[in-house]
Amino acid sequence: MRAFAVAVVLLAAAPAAAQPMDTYGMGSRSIALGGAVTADVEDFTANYYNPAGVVRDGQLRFGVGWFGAVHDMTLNDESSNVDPVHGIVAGLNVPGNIGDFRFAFGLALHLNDQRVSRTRVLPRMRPRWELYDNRPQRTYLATHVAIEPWPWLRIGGGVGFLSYSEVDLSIRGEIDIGAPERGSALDHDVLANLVTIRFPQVGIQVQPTEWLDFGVVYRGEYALTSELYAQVGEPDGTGPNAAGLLVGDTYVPAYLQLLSASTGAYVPHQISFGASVRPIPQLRIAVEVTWLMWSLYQSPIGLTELELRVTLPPELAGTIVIPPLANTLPVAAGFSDRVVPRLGVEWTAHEDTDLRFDLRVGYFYENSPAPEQSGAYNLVDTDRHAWSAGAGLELRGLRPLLPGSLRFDLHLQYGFLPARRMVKLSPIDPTGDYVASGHIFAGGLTMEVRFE
Amino acid sequence: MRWRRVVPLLSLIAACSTIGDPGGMPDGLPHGGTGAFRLLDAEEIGIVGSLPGRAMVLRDAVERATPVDGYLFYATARVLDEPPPLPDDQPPNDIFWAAFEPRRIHRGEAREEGFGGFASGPEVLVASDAWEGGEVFDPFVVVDGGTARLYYAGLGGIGLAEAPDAGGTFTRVGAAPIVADARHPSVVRGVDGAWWMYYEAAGAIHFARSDDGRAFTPMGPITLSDDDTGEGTELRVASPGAVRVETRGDRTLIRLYFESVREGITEGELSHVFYVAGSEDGVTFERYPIPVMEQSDVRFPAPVLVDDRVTLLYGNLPFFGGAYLTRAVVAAVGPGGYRFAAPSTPSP
Repeated sequence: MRAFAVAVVLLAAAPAAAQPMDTYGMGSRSIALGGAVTADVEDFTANYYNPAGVVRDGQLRFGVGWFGAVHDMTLNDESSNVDPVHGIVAGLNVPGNIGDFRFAFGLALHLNDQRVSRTRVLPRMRPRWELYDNRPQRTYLATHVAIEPWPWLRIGGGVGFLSYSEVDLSIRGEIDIGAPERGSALDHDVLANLVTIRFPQVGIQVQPTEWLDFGVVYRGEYALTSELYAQVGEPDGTGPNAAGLLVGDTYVPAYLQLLSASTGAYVPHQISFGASVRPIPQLRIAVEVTWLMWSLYQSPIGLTELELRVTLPPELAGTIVIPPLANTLPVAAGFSDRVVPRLGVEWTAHEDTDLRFDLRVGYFYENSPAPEQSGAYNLVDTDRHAWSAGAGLELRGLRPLLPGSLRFDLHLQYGFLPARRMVKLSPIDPTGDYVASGHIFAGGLTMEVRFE
Repeated sequence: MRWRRVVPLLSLIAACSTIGDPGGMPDGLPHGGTGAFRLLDAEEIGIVGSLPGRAMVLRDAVERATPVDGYLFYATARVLDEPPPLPDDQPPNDIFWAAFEPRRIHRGEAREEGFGGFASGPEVLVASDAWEGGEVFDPFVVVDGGTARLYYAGLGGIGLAEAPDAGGTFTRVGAAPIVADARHPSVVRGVDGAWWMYYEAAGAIHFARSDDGRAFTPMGPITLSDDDTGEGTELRVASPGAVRVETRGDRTLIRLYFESVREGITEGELSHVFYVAGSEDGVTFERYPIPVMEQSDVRFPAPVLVDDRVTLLYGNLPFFGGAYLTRAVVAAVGPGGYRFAAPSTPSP
C-alpha cells in the first residue's frame, strides 16, 4: 500500500502551566524569609511579591542573582525524574519625584538557563507531578509602577508576562507505507513563535508606624488552551491536498482529522495578606497568608476528536479493516483552593556605618489542591513543607567607588513533600495504587546595588 | 588585570549552563499489571531461538507451565513412535494429543544465565490413580512454610501431591480428586487469609476455598464483568492464573489472568487472548477491557510478581518441535517497556 499525496497541517499552541516563582520564590532574601515579605518588601523582588514595594525605598536599586532547585520526587520509590530548575533572576526599581509626589518603575525577570519555555504533552492517564513537572519551565517578566501618595501608603500595579510557544507545522508529499525510508518525499514548513501572555498584579503596603507594616497583593488568573489540529487529505476526497491509499492498482480515498484541545497553562487568582513587625530594631518578624483559587483550575486532560474516512471500493470490502476511533472528553481536575501560611524572621546580627549582616529563616506550608487520584487519571501532588535559611551582607562604606551600598544575599531551602497514598476505585486500574512523596532542594545567590 | 581573566571565565560558565537537555522521564511509573506485556527477547532471557519469549528449550509437547521458587513445573509428552495421522478437523493451533504419549508432570530448574528461562528437567509425577485417566497435567505449585503443594489435573478433576519443598519428592494426598470435573487450578492466599483455588469447570472460572490447602469447598463461578474492547466475540473464559497483590494503598487484591476464547478474529479458528481482572473480595472481578498481550493464540497464563510494578507472565504459544505442533512455553513482562538486564552470553 502506498499513501498518495499526503498533506498534514498541525497547529500547536502549546503553553505549559504557571510561573516558577509561585513554587520557589524570587530573590534570595525573600526566599530565605519564606516568602513572607508582602508587607515590607522593597528590593527588586517587589515586582513579584508586592508591586507597591517598588516605591518604598525611594532609591535606585538593581539586582541580579542565580537560582537553582533540584527535585527528588518519587512514585512508589521510583524516581519521577522531575527536571531541575535553574536560571537567572534580575530586576530594578527606578524611583522618581514630581514635587513631593513619589513614584517608581519596576522590572523583574526570571530566565531559566536550560530552556526558555517547554511544552510537554503526556498520555492522558500517565502520572505526572502536576505542579512541578512542567510548571516552572518558563520565563517570567514583570513591569510595574508604584506611587506613594502619603508616607504611610504605597500602591503599585502592573503586568506580568509569561512565555509560551506556538507552532504551525505543515507537511505535504507522499509516504510509501511499505518502505517509508525509500519511497517517501515530504516537504514541510515550520513556523514557531515564542509569544507572551499577560496577567495583572496589584498591591498595597500600609505602614502605620515605623515598626509595623501591612501589605496585600493580588495576582491575576490566566488559562490558555493548548490545541493540536491535524488534517490529512480533503474531506470530500478531492482537491490539492487529497490523500489516499494505493492498494495494488486501486486508489482508495482517505481523510483523517485530529483535534486535541486542553488547558495547558493555568495560574490561579492569588491574594496575599501580610504583616511585619519590628519589636526591636534588630528583629523583624513577618507572617503572611496566601489564598490561591485552585478550585477554578481547568484540567489539562482535554478533548480529543478523531475522524477517519476510508471509502473502500466493493472489491476491497472485507480486506481492509478500519479500526473504530474513540473520541475523548475533558476531565475535571477537581482541585480545591489552597491557603498558604508563611513565616519569616530576620535578625540583624551586626550593623554599623560600613556593614550590615543579617540572618534569616522562613517557613511555609502548602496544602495540596489536588484530590486523591482514585480514578483513571493521575494529577499527582502532595502537601509541601518548606524551610529556608539565609544570610545577607550589606557593604555600605564603598564611597567614592559606589555612591550607595552593595548587598549579597544567600539562601537555602528544603521542601518536604510527605507521602501521599493514592488508592484506586478500580481493582484493575492500569496504574494501580501508589504512594507519592518527595524532596526539593533549592538555593541561590543575589547581589543588589543600591544607589543613594 | 585579574578581572580580565575572571569575566571571560564566568561568561563561559554561564554560557555552558544554558545548554538545554531534552528533560527527564520517570524511571518507572506505577503499574497495575494490565500490560501491555512484551515477550522477553533472547538477550534478556538468555535463550536464542526462533520464537520470541521462549522460556524453555523443549521439543516435546507442552501446555501449562507454572514457576515457583526457581523451578518450572510443566506437563509434557513425547510423540509416539508410530503416531496416527492428523485428522482433517484437527484445530490448527491445538496439540494433537493422540499422537503423543500420556502427559507427565516435570520440573525444570532456572537457568543461570538470563532472567526467566528454565532448563527442562525430570518428571515428578506420573499418573497412577484411576481418576487421573492415565495422564496428569496442568501443574500449579504453592510453597507454604515447610510444604510444597502440587495441584494438578487428571481427566477426573484436580488432585494434590505434597513435598517438603518445591525441589523435593512429591507424594499424592488421598486417592481421589480434591475438586472433581475441573482443570487448570491456580491457588493463592485469599483476601481472608484462607487458600483460594481458581479453576476452570464447565466453560467458566470457578473458585473453591480451603483453610488447610488440602480440602477445598467449591463456591461456584466467579462474577466477571464483560465489558471488553477486544476483537471478536467471547465464547468462554478459561485457564485462570491468579496472583495475590499487596498494593501500596495498603490493601490486598486478587489479580486474575485468564484466556478469553473468541471467534471472529481469525477466520475459521478460535482465538485465545489473555485478559486480566481484579477483585477486592476474590469473588467479583472487574475486567480490564484491553487484552494484556497482542498475540491472538496465547494460552495458560501463569503470573509471577517480580516487584510491585513488574509482572512476569508465562504462557504458551504455537510451535513445531517436530512434525507435530508441540507449542512452547514463553515469558512476557509487563509493563512492556521494562527490560531485564541482558546476560553476557545467550545460549541455545
